[in-house]
Amino acid sequence: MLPAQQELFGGDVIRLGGETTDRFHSDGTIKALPDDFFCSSEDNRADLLSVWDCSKTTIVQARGFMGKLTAPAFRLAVTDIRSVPVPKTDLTLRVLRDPDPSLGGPGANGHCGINRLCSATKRARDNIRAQLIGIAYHIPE
Amino acid sequence: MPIVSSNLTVKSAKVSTPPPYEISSGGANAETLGGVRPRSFEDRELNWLSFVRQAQSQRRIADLVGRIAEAIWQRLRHAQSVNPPVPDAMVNEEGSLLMVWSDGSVHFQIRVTPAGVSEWYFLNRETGEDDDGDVKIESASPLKFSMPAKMLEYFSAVA
Repeated sequence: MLPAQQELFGGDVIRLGGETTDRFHSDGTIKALPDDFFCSSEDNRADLLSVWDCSKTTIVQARGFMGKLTAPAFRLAVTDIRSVPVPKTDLTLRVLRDPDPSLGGPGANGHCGINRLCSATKRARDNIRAQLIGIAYHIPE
Repeated sequence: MPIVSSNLTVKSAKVSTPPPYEISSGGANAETLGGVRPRSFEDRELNWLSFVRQAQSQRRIADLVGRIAEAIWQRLRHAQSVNPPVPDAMVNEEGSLLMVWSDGSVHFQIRVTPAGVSEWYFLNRETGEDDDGDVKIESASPLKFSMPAKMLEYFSAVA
């Protein structure tokens, strides 16, 4: 039996968004968009949307691990994520540690995942993403 | 203006105070793409249409996706008595194009998928009301489609 994944209750996480070439902001200001929380096939398998614990991984390190070198980074408070309800359930989102044994080097131990987004219904995912963009803050560089 | 009823009600997320470290919330010092902040509606619309056409020419979205997105925008634009907000947009790894109008309490989006399906979604963050549906594509060539009145009503809430 797999060990239970450790749940985060506080702190901040980084989410790397879509590459700059794939996004358009009408007023020219970078902000989070729903598809910045698009679930990859790997995210779908584990029902964990990939994020990084700010206390363990820097933006540069996360970009290196993800191979997304120009992706804007967004910071989200874990308490805000945990307050987002999953529609038609009594559940809210949560953040779980998800160390990736294939990664090495500084910052590798900061990988986490937002749980209960990728497994939600299509309409619920739209709902959740519309709420996540309201609590995601772009980190300027 | 009251928003028509939805068949799904959810609780809204509580949002904590933004963190004390440096963040971008769209203020005067916010980082921009390309470093130029377009001022007029015409500039923003031109930039938006250029983004769509560039994504088409670079094969990041299918030609049909770009044509549908542009046609929907033109229909929405001319359905309003004043110029509506130009959408934010994003291409995802599946080749879908997402158009987004999200400001404060209301959120409206239209996704055009590589199959030419166009799905819209509306959320009132304050009341938790949400709704979704499709733009009915009747013909791809020549492009013909109809937009539900309900969708136009939701769009007017963000326009």
